[in-house]
Amino acid sequence: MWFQVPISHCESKMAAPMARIPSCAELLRVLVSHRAPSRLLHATAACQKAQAGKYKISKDGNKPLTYEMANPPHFIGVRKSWNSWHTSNLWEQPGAADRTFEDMFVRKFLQGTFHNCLADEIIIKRRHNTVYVAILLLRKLDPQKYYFLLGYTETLLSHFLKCVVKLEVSVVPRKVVYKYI
Amino acid sequence: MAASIQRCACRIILRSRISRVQSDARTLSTSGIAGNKPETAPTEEKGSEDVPLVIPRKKKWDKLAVLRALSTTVKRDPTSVDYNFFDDPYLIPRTTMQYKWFSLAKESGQKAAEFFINKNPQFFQQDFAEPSIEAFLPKTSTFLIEEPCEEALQERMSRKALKAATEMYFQILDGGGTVSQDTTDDLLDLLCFHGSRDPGQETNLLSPEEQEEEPPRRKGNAKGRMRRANEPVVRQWREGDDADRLFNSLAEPSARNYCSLIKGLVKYEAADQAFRTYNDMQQKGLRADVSTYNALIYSVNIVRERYEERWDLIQQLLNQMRLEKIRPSLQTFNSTLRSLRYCGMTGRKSCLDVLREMVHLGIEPSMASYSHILSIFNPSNSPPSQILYQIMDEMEGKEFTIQDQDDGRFFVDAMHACLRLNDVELAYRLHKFQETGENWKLLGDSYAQSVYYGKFLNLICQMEGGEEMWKWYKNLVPSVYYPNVPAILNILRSLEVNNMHHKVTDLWEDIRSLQHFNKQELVEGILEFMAREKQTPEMQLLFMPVVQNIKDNIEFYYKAPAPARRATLSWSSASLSNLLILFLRAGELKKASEMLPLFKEHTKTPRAEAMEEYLAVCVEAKDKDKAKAGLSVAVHCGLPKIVEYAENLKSAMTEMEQSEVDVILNEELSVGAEEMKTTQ
Repeated sequence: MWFQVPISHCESKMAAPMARIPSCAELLRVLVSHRAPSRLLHATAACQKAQAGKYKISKDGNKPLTYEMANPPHFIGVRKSWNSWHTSNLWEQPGAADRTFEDMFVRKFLQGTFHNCLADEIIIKRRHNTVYVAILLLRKLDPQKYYFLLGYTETLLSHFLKCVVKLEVSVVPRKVVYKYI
Repeated sequence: MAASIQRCACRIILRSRISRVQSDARTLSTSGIAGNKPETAPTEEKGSEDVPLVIPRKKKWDKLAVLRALSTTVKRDPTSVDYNFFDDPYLIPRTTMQYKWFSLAKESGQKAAEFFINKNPQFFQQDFAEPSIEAFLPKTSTFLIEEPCEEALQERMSRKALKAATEMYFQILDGGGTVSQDTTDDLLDLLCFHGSRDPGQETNLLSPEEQEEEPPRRKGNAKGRMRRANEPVVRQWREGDDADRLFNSLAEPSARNYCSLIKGLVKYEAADQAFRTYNDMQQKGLRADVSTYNALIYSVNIVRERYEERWDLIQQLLNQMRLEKIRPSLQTFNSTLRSLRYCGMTGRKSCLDVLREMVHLGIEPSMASYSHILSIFNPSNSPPSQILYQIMDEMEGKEFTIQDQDDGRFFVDAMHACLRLNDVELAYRLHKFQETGENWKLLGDSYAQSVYYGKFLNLICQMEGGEEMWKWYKNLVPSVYYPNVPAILNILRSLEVNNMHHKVTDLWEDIRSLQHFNKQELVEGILEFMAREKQTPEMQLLFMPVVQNIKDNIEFYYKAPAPARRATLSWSSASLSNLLILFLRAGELKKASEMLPLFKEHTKTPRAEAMEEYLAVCVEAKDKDKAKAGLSVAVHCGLPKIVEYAENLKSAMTEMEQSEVDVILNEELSVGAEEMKTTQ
């Protein structure tokens, strides 16, 4: 939480939408001018220790981790594999950003549709003109309800991504725990 | 030099191969039905001597050639499920009901998504696919061209928006414009084909007001048979529909217009009107085409009641075709044969003439023709005829493609005939024929398939040995066929005849996964199967898990609250006696004695042999308390040989205990007598 808006951030992130509104543009001009005093104070706890993809050890050592969670990001390609499979990330291939955005969308969509029913990470594979989405489900809903949601998801995602989307589904009784930390 | 000799030899081999192929082709063409084609082979053979073999430098393959070649390398996997289900133990359907539920659930999920997409097209407009894929774009209800003109009409027709197209048509006419003859014809064709209704409209959730005006369901089909449960509801033709309106507005309807109207009328069950329209057409001197005649012949059995009248009408139509020099097609013969199905003896007499004509014209019959022939010669009220043997001789080894809407009925009808003939060899031939090439595609919908496999398995159960039967059972269940209770009882009977009692554990597992474990008839059948004869001790122990499971199941239903118990398992005299026997034979005297109070509790009578066996085991084990309990049950239920049992018991006991037995006997008898008095 910032006490005062740091100018550089404000400019880069918010200038475009704000500039459309006259009052916001005025405010910006005031902020940018050198007369406005600006002190950058950091009042929240320092969060340098927080790292992406690593889990904090619990007090009792009883926090369950799946295999996917147990291996931090630097083991990708060593002990575990990528969650998105496509060729856009290769050298000089176009469309990396688009694919990343689509994958984010697919993940958000599935997390919302199969809320509390996903047992692990979603794997998205692109082969030819088809997107294969591999998901691991829990036995929380009746099979016919799953069929409804799966049919619904396939059709809707196909229309969003404009290509055939196929789901590869496995159902597990409970989350598959690799280790406790 | 050597090279030239080699080349020469190569050419000789090639040429001999070719000539063999040609002669094969010749024998085929003479042996088949189309035997009267002109033979040109000898002259060709002479010509091929001179023409060297030209290997094409480039061969243009079909787009699907590689996939076809790959698909010939795989066979049906008897452990897999239908392709539209997810291959996961939790998501695989195990019963017919689940099969239906799951496929419908998936379908309705897709429908829900489509509804969402069509309701909110703004989220799906972005089109970044190259080339653009129309299937993934929302179906909008707005059109590019709004002002009335012929292009606008064509746009609506190409999008199959028939209501809008008809409106546009009349709008153009009202505005004083004209529509070209071709477009008008096309529009009428579309309207007649779809019955004046937008295709796919029955699934459209967007227009509830249109669904309300759905005509009331017919109470019963006055003519013809009742609709089967799995047949789709055919919407009926209504007077004043768009097609009617358009047709009436035409100043001078052409022959094509009349033909499409007649075909539409037949398709939407207005056969009487179709014949009236046909008469109008004849009076105006217009000639109908072959498909119109086919449609008319198809509907003969709706407009005429008596068999002879039907056949007369068919003959009239066929003669009319001959006068007009219209060459009949396969569909003509199929519709004729289909109508002959409903003509009884007349049909059987005329069928052969029709077939002769078919051969004469060199038309290869399709599956539907054979299916019709089979049912003409195999009516349900007479002993089965041998016609299927001839049909199989004719069909075997051939590959068929779908050519007629009734093609899917052949396999079911033929398997039914096999069952009536009780000929398992014929059934194997039929099944092999079904596996030839892509004939399996003609097996029909899931209902037809389950009937086909059900009859097949039933026949195998009746006619085959145990091992063979079990092999087929494993092959068919549950990947293509979910057996129902009578089918499983058939399998049980076959296992019993072939003395294969050890398979009962596997079968019980299947029964549980098929959700039949709570069917009273089946549970009693299984118990009877296990208890009828005394097996080896190992076998009796093998039965124990099944027995225990059944007992737990039945007890569960008695403990469960009232709603769960409805129409499910309950104790019967037979099941209790069988359980008692099974426990005894497995050496579980304690469990057997626990069964005894249940007889009194549910007022059931044990079978005499069961009690006898129980007492005998008690005597052998020298367990007096249990013996007395058994005796008391026997006395309570008033078994006839009660005194005999008591004597047997006494002989194995001391005097002290003998008196106790007497006490039990007297007590129970007096209680019984008192009860008798009170009831009187």
